[in-house]
Amino acid sequence: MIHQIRYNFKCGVKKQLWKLLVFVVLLIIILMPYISDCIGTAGVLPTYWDFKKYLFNGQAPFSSLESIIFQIPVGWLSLHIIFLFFIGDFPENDLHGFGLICLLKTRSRKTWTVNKLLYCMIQTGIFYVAMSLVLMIMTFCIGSNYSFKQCEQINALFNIPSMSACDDLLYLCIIPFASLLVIALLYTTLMWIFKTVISFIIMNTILVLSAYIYSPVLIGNLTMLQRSSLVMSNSIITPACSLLIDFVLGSLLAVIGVIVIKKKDIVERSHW
Amino acid sequence: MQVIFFTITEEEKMKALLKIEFVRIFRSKQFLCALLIGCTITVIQFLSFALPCIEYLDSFDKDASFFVLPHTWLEKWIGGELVSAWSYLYYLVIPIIAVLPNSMSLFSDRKSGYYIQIESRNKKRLYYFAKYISTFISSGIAVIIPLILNLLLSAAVLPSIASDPSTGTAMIGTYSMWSEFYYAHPFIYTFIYLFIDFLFSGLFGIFGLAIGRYSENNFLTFMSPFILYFVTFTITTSLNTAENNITKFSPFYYLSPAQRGVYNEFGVIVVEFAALMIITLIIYIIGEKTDEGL
Repeated sequence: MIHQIRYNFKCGVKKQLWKLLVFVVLLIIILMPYISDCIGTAGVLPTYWDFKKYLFNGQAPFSSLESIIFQIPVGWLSLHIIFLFFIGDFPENDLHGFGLICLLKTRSRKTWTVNKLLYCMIQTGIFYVAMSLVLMIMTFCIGSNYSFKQCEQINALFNIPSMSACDDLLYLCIIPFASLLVIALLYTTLMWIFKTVISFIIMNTILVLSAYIYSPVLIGNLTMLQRSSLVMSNSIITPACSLLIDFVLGSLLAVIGVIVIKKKDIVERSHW
Repeated sequence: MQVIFFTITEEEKMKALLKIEFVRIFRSKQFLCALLIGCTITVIQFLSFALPCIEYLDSFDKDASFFVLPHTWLEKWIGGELVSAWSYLYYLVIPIIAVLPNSMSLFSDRKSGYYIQIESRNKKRLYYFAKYISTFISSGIAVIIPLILNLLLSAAVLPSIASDPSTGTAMIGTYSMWSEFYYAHPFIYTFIYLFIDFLFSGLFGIFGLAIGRYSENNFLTFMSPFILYFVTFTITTSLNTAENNITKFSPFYYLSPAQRGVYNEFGVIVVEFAALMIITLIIYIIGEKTDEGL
């Protein structure tokens, strides 16, 4: 088990760190216009928490009846798609390389599966920490601060009510992290059931539909501040509901993952 | 006993290779999968967006003054609207659908030993050229067929009436590229746009193919055109202002016939296509020259 964790870290995490570079560059590009918007419109510099609000703000529920053009906030969409790219195909690809040898030697598919699920958690953690670090550095570079102090002008820009420090931690740290973790687990499980390409397309479909349809079942809704009970008074997406869905879905996906790998024909492999 | 020697010209070899490549592609699971994914998205769009418009046609028949114009398929098919999530999704995943049919075959041919067999009988250049042509065409077809299917389904249930700019129901605004042409000749406009989509899909396909020569991992091959497409989309959307209108440089904004970007320019589309084509070709030729079949 420990050997496999070490291997995951060496081959899965370390070798894929270059993907973070793509993410960091894109994140900076996404945030640059936001900074100028804040200065131009609100007349203030965004704080660390304002940056997070921007990334996880999302959009209000979309109504197709009004015949307006459907658009998805680019920051939110990019964050999720780059996250999927960051998870990569390692959990599936390993099954046909070193993972196969591990399975044959240990004779325990469960250990291997649990290891790969752990890999997803580690990758999610690294992604989240990297994002937070970039935001911290940007905050430092523009001379802003990290306090939980509210700026009413920026809140008005997002159409967000005042948030306490506790709200900041809950809505901008815990819930997005838990939801990203479930997204990673869902992507990995789909990868084991289908091919990597198909699971990537399914995940894109889920993300686009999340922006289109307001429903807690579509996991992308949980990472949108605009659809939470904080902004929408009648929203069913309360913090308790979000965390419960994340927990139930995460557990379910872990169990499905173990079952899928147990039943999978690990010898057969196509090159796509 | 008389021995007859046949001399096969390069042209004949090329034709044979192309034929083999096309047969392989059109019988492959990947091509079917690409079609299936594309058709699923476009059929769902038809069922959820275009088909429900039928109920309003009855109202139009009974009371002609009720509507200015009935719903037309030109505004309701997946390429004519920007309201549904399915239209957004289809134009978002175009590079992935384009890559599926054949872009990853350089890698799989090498792994399976097929490449060695071909190389020992033909010139490497012919194999690469056949791959290039077949990938370009198959990628274009894989993206176009679902669009045509959606167009035909929509045209089967909704009237074929040209949009009127005064109603404001069409997504093409007066400032959009070729707007006059769209209102005057909507069918020709649609088919020209389908051709543009075909060309760009082919381009995405061969871009994946060119990257696939250097990649030891299929994930990077199928992701490379998508990364290019998505990064352009993200950068242009983030940096776009009313003054610079840089979304016109992103294929996501101009590939849909309904034109997601307001200020698209044909010149930009041509230059971008030509530039990407040249870059891809250079990467591909270098890949071919440096390939030792190992």
